[in-house]
Amino acid sequence: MRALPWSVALLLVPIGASAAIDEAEQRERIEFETRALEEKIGNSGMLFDDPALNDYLQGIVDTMFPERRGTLRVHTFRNPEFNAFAVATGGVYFHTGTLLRMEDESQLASVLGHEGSHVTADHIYRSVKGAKSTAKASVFLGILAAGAGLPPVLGSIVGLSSMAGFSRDHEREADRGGFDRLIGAGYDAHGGAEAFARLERELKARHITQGGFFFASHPRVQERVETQTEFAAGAAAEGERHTERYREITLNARLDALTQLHRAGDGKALVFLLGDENLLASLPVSARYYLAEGYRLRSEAARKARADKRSRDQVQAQRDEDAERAVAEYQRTIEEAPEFAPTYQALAMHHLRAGDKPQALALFTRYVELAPDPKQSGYARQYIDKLSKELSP
Amino acid sequence: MTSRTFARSLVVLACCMVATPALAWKLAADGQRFEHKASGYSIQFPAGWRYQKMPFGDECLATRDGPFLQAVYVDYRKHRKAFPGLKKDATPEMMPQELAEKLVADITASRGLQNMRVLSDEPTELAGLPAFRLHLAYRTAVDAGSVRYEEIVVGANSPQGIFVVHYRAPVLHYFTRDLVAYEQALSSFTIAAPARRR
Repeated sequence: MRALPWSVALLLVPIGASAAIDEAEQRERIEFETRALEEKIGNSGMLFDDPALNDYLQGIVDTMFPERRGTLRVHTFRNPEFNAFAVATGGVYFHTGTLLRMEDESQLASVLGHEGSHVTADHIYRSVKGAKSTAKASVFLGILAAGAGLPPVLGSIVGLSSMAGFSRDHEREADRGGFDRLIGAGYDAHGGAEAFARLERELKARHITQGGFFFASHPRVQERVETQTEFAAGAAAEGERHTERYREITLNARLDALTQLHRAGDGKALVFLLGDENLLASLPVSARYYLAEGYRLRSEAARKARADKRSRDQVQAQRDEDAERAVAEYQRTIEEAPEFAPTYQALAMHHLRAGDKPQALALFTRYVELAPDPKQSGYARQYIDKLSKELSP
Repeated sequence: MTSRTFARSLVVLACCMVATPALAWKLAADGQRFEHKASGYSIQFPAGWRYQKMPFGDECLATRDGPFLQAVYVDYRKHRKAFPGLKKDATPEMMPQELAEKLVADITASRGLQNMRVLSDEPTELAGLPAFRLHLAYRTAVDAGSVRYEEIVVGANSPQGIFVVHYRAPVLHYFTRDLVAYEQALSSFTIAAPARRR
């Protein structure tokens, strides 16, 4: 994973265009710009406000980087995609979407270790220093990156910062450094390989070749999995995973990422994560609702056969299969989490579309019983009125 | 409104406002309704506000102090490519709840508003049609100052397309103040049969 030294990008042009600046001044400029950018992030409304989670993440970083206690600061960024980045002043930003994709503390620590290592190895300053001659090309690449699907709410900041991604050598150095920190803190050595292997599978499953995902346009995910596996093979005994602790403290953030994926209508991601990767096992039983919704959304989205070279018949077959799976998963959610209201409304909508009005009415009625707040149940109440009139003898 | 359309609209708006403000914007007066002949809708924008049909997309926007400070705009979408941010079509059969769900996903994707919250999503009526009413809250991009906005989106499906009447304004000072003007404009919204092309 690469850090996002925003200041690097912002400083590229002045550095390339001006006379030589001594190291102290360069560092001062980097810190000044980064502090301003961190302030903007702080005001962006995109940080996930969960003090217990932040303390937990901070505790892991402090354990892994004891000499940096107080200077490496972890923040949780509200974004459902897999990402994390570090900035020059020691801020490490971790997406809720990354937490959703991790299964235990060793996987989490492998990413935090990597990001922290970018900071401790001074990669940001070293990148600025090495970027002088390529400033203009980097700015151009940055504009391309900005158009490639990075979170637009961060505006040009993220776009520009991605261009200043670290060199292969720096990434390897951070991989090694992160791994050593992982082992030093007593974590299981396989965390990194597992985390990157999942990322690789996800990129393939969602046909992602570029965009906000780290290394989506990089051929190096596979290489990273191999490197991490190689490191782990050389490690001695098995370490800690702290799976239960991880699941408990990160639960709200993971559920938030899940609801964001759901609201964005990303059925492919929901099915991949909850179904194919079985992350459902680490979530409350009611989370199966999101798997059902994932199948429904994927079924509705699978309209363009040419997108992945399947025939029209194959796409139709997939749609039908997904629609059936959605219903099966709704029913299972009702069995396992009978008090979880949204499932009833979703299944009622399915029956309404299919013309099974009595069943739809019964499910809407149950939904309203479980979600009496009119702000939540307005549509259901409307359907109940309408269906009751239609079905009355 | 997609982010691209929005950005292009802003550029054109800015150019228009600097170069020919008097020509580009029309003054809304009582009894002088804006009529959209292609779809058949008409609306009475608040008196004293200025309005303009946007050069991109099929939207008409009215504002009193400037589009960033308060905007009431009507967004007419044909079913085909109704949700450009999702690259999905709508159908005339879609129910308000489904439309609202898709529109939220479309706004999130097209404007990149991952910090957006849906404060409420309730059924209502628009020009006598079953409709949805969304209340959204979000902050603008970091580069644009992370300004807190709220937005009301009321939309309805019809055989010819989707009608969406928006109101957006910064929370600070503007949103509550101009909400009444929006509600009045919303209640004046009507849909007649669209003009047929010869």
